[in-house]
Amino acid sequence: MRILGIAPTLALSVGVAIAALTGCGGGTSTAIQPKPIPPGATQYIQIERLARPAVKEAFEMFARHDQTNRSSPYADPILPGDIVTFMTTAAGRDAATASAIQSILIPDEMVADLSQSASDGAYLGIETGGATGNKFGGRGLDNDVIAISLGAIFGNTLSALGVVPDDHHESPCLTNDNVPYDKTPNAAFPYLDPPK
Amino acid sequence: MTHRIARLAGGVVVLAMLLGAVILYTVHPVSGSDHQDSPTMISRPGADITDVFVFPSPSNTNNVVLVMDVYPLIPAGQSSNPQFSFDPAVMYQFKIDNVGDRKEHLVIQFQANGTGTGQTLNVYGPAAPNIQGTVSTFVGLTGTIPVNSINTSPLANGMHVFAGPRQDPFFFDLARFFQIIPDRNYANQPSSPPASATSFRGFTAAFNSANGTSCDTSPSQDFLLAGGPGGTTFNVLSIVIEIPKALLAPSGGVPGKIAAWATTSTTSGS
Repeated sequence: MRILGIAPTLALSVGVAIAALTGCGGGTSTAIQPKPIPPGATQYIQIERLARPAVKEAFEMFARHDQTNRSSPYADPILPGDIVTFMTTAAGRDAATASAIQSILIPDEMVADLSQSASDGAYLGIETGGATGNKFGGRGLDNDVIAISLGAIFGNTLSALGVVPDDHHESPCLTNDNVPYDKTPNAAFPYLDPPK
Repeated sequence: MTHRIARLAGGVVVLAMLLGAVILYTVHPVSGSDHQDSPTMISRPGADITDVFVFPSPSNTNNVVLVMDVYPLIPAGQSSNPQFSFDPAVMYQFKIDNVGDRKEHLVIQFQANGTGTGQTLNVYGPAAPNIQGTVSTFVGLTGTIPVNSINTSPLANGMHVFAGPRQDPFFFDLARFFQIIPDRNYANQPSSPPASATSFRGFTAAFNSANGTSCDTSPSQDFLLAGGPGGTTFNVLSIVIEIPKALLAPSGGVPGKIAAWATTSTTSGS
């Protein structure tokens, strides 16, 4: 099956993968008991937040980024609704596809499974059941996050993975920016190339 | 007299370089994306997070690497310019859920001391946050490292930390994206023009034939490159930590799934 925007690897049930996102490390889900704030401790107010690349930029109007930046990913007042709005209007997808994208991207956090052996990160690897390369997930320096994202938003990635039925509203000319990884892999810490 | 003239000439050269860097930074046409994604970030670039990465350590299977890149669009050749320093007023923070409720149960925090040559970075945590949510206070200090120095010795808890200028690892035809969705370009605010493109570049004739499309086959271009492949023209400031997976395990548990995000914060909220 030709998948626009993603190389088919393992076409596993992403529905199972999405459900599995809620389990981490074998611990129990508990709210933090607030610690006493030391007297005089300086409080810092959040002004920027980022996890997955280009999510705000794809789905939110520029003027709304600041509200998301100042929120926690589990309490974002803007992004969940804007994902659905963008998907069903600008991207022209059906409600089921929009809902699936929202389920994958909310909360907007970078998910990785440290119990998995892998040689690199694989962006959306956990969310897609390993279809983007492995089940470690996270994001490697050479991951083509744009192609992966565009394929899901404008292509048939989700239907090919069995998440939702194909709505036949793909936009093939928007499924890839066709810019390949063009940096030099660096095997030594800190792994990013020295500055130019 | 000759020595004074030489020093004055050198100062003029340095001043021209600084002005050039400032002008380039503020009017570069391809601003935006996670780079410069809000007016607050444009006014405080040292707090502007451009990318987050999480990947297995290439050199130690017991470790994981977390990267936070900040301060976008540092011009090539300007990484030693003191203007492009970590912002000492900013708390840089990784927030990590390791129990599965998608809220932060561990934080790793950083704060710079001074600017320019000699800048150091305090490292705090990993530890449970004092407060969950968008207000933070510093947890316990773990160590202090010099900025822009690759130190092979870990901190006492086994973490390796690097902080300093690196090549921007992002790659994207951002210029074409801004033609497709002009609103996302900070330079187009508050009233963006209509879209001037409906296709990304770089598609092939074979793709068009197979899909029955007429997608744009003109060459794509990574926004970070000038004149095509072969070099990166912009840098960022990177905070890279290589940390034993065991330090990210839940209490009494083993390393498993984590959900991470990066934040920057100031005392003023601006």
